Amino acid sequence: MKNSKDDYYNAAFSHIYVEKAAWSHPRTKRILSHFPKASVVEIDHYKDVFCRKGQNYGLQHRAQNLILAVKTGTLIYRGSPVCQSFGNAHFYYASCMMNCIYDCEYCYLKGMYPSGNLVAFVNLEDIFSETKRLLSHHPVYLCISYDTDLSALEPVMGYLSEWEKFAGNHEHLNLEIRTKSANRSFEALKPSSKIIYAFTLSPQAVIEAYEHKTPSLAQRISCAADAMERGFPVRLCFDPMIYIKDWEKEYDAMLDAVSSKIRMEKLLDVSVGTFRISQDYLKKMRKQAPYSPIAQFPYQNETGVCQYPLRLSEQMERHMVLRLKENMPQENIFLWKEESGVFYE
Amino acid sequence: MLYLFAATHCEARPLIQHYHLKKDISQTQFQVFFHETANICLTITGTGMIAPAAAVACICTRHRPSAHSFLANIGICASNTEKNTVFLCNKITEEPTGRTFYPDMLLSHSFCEAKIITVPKPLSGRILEQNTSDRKEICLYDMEASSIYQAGSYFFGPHQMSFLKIISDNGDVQNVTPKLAENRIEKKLPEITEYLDMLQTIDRFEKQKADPKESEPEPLLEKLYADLHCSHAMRLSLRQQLRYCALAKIDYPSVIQNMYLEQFLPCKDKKEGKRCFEELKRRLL
Repeated sequence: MKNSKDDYYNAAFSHIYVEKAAWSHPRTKRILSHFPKASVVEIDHYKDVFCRKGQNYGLQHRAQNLILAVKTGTLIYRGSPVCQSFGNAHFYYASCMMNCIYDCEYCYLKGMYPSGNLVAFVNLEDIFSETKRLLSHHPVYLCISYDTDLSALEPVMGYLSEWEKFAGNHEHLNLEIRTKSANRSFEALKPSSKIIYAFTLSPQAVIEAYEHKTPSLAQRISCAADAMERGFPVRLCFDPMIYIKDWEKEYDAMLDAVSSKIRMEKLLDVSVGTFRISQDYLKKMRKQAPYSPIAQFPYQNETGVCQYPLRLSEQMERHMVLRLKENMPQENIFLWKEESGVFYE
Repeated sequence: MLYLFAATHCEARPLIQHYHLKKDISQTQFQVFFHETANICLTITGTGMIAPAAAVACICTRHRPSAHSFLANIGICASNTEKNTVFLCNKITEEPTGRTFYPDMLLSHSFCEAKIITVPKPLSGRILEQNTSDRKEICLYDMEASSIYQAGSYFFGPHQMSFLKIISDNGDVQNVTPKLAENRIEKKLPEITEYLDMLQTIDRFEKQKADPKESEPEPLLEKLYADLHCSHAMRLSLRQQLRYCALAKIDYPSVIQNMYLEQFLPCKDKKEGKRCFEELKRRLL
């Protein structure tokens, strides 16, 4: 007898949709071998499943399915002016997966994609070729885990180790791996100053309330400390900062926990920014999550970007920056500023 | 509500009996059977590709499904296998157009899964084994699924639609009698109804969870609009503000009450209303 509503839903990746074009790819076979019990459904094109109308993002996240596809068209994207470039002139991002196994209520992917299912593009070699073409013109700073969390999926997908091998052969390529995962995916990688691990951290109260299925703050801090220990440059992202009751106390407790385990002055840098999102994405999020306090917060719309009231966002960011400056040089603190047009997540 | 669709009366009869459904005599275009308290509506669509689409559109327009309702199409089908089991369809291809549809497969179940091809007329002759890529697949054939999916998608999301099929033949349609169709469904009734009961439980649970009383602070709104001399934009902003407070469990009624006690409210004109609204927002966050 079922005793919980969750019992009615399938486990993650119980169904795997495979594009005809991806069917014979060795990476497809390798990924499928991790899911011997999954029902595999052949599809013509990933958009036939991913872009259906009327999908329920929340329910799909409860029983997330995987789509294996071949990426065509644009393979590497120029970093949008709304993304933090950390001072890199040639800033790009690759989208080798779409969507994430984590279910953060504030995630912009909920407004960006019509589906909660996860798409993995198996033709990494095409993305590598495009990266090589860019490298023939100039150095490249490439974020490879923007629209997903590659580190969380590394045991199954193995994409990080392939990127590491590729980066090892290209001197002018710098990679950023952004994650909320506590997977020690870096243990299988050769430490390199060109591979930046960027951990997104939030107070435990925010994690419990809004960052569903993610590791705890303590686990993430411990993972970041280990990555530093192994010789990887580590970036901490206190971005997006989320407004909650007693936010000051909660963010202070988080910083205390971080500085007790991590030597802040040894960090590559940190980024700070309060939550902001495009009005179009927020509109979709509000429809999909009518009972989420984050989606329903009365944001101020500043030229198409919805954000906390100025007084509140300034107060939160100022507090965070002042606390960080106690332990690290100011030039290593990147603060999102509306005027510079820099925002992401 | 649970919306059931079956092509013929003989396929529907076991379900009508099991759920004690009563015929809705006000409905003349299609035979419709109801159970008010169990919240089930079963429609006999007729066979072919047009009638089921019309039936779905007709019933769902008359009884608008909610965000938590489910649609289930239950019926017999032909196949390239002899397997005596219930199939849940994970891929529906419409043979004349080649279009394919994918119902979400989010719920756990005890059925086999297969793809189904909807054809415009009964298949005659034995069905050849279908080969797709390098895999041999079970392939089902019916005359309704793609029509029901397409018409249903105007009212339901892909996570709300299920297609349950039981094999009746291998293309030798002349042997498929009404009695055989009814028997096939009847034999599998325990498995089918277990799944349908699960859909109803989820429907009830989601409905309770989404009770608007929890998040809509309606009773306060009208008085506040008037006392703040709200413009349309202010009304929307205030509604959003209080909606957030209700969800974030902020004690907004006390904040508002204090503003009345401190004589910020009611305001005498629009100008004062705007100032008061800013003060209210400041106090709520």
